[in-house]
Amino acid sequence: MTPTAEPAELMLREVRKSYDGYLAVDRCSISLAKGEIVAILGPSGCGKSTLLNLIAGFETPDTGDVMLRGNIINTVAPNRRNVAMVFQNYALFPHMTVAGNIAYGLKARGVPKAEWRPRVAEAIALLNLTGFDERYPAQLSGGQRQRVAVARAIVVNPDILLLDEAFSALDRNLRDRMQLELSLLLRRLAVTTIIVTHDQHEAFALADRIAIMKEGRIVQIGPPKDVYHSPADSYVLRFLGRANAIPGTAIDHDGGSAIRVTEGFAVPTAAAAEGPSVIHVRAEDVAVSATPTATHRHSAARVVLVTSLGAQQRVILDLDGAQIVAEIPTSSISDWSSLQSGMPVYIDLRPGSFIVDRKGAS
Amino acid sequence: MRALRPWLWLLPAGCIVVPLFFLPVLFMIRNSFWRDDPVRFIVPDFTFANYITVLSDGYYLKVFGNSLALAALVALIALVMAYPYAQLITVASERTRLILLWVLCLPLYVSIIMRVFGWIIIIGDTGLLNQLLLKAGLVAKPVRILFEFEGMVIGMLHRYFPLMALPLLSSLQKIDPALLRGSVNLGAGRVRTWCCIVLPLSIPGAVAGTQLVFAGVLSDYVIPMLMGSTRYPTSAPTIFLEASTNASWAKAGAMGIVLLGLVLLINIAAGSLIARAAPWTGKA
Repeated sequence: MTPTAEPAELMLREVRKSYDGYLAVDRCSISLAKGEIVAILGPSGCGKSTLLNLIAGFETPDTGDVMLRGNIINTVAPNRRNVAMVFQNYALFPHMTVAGNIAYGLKARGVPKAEWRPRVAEAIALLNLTGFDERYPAQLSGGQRQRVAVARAIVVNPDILLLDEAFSALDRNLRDRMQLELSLLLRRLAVTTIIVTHDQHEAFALADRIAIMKEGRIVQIGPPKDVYHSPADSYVLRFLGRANAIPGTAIDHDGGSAIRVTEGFAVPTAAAAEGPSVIHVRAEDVAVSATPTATHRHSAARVVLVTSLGAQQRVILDLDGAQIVAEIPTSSISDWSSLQSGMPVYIDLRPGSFIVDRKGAS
Repeated sequence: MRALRPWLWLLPAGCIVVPLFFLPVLFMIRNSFWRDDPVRFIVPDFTFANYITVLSDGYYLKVFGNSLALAALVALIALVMAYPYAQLITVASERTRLILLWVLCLPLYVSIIMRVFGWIIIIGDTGLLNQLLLKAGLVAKPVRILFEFEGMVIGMLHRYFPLMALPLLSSLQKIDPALLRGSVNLGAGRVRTWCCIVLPLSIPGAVAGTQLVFAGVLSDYVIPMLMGSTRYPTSAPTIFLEASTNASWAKAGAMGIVLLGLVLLINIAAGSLIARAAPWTGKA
């Protein structure tokens, strides 16, 4: 527990939850300050939805505690927690208008009409839904539906706001716009928020801190750039961004160790390594050069294909049968002639950007 | 030709429905405007007299009123019974659900005559129920249920309950569980969630069930004949009586058309009820 003067707004302490012997959430601990936005990121089945359900109260932890401002709320019924959720497909009530949906939580809390009416109107204005009050969800666009779902959740002034894959139903452009809008809104309102997503862009666009989950456990938590640039292990590295897994063998090298990928291409590594290994490196950390580099001295790789991603060029390389993907900023390329299919190139891995695992370890 | 092609799919059903349903109805409509004649049976003599009799004579009005009241009562009881039953099916385990569904559909598989005999054994004057009541000393003489209004209601409920429960079940099952979680998450308890989310979203099923039960009871012939009382005449047996015993085919036709009109009217009313009580169903 971190020594803070005030108890954390939301804290999970060693929370565990299993279903029929399957461990969905395994001793997860996380703590959020007031107004903080944390994204829980992981592939499907990693336990992030269960974690959200534990906070919302739809599930009760087997062991460990869910705490709101220092109070244990493990067994508090979901309707008695002031935790509002934006559901994956919004779960808007189809038989209620926009205004009816937004007023629902206030009415359920027994807020008198004289009070809820202006609050609903305020939420409608805040989410740019003015003029749509009397529409039914079926008459709204995807983006509008999401706004209603957000308005419905924040209008009750929740202690914690939960977003469960809340952008997955939107197309790319709309998703980016809504993420920006929501990110600004949540900071303005200083709502303590947990976002659950498998989409790293969503996590990076919205969150102050990112928690990476794997098989029920939080493997790393920290600000987005720390998690991205200093991944705790190869799992985190591979989950964030486009990563290569380059096979090699550990050798002694200048008194330290290195991983030899091919004859004449050995990457020095600070960590102790032994035997057959795998180098995990992101595509953007692979440098491509027309001339031999410090680590890659002879037997060049071959360019297989170059595709443009706009700001970046993706170069697919063949290195002794191993496929390596490099992404190079388009603006940094001066010599396009060496980036033709079949051309020999030398590669280098940005120091400190890669993680070496024993082969078969991950 | 191409425009006709979709209609070809109706051919098999049409081969049955047109000659066996639409044509007889057309004959009946024609008959209802002709005149009953004691000697020549029915004469082609265009007249509204049958309708005037059927719609003004106290006896016929009472028959239709009886049928409407019975149908309304049976539909109401069936609706009140069907909600908890259908709701139970939606929350039951797989195994229990199958059993409950089987029990629900059982009356549809068993012949109506067999079911009526079953009821005679149970609710007859010397039946199971009365013997138990007499033995327990709760009543001094048998309670008359069979061949009374009450017996008819029991028979109707047994016959038409599945038609109420199945559409209701279907609309309850269509409710996205996420909506219930959404409601709870927004602070609503079970009662509020049921009243504000489940009940309104199940209205289309409840209306569909009510329509089916209403139409069925209104025109049921067997149950009033086998379990009812002649002191509470209903429309279908009365029409049969007019046509067979009294040989008044024209008047019977007029009564049939009035009954058909009533059912039609009720369906239209139900449609506009849905449009009003569940306005979201029409929006897309």
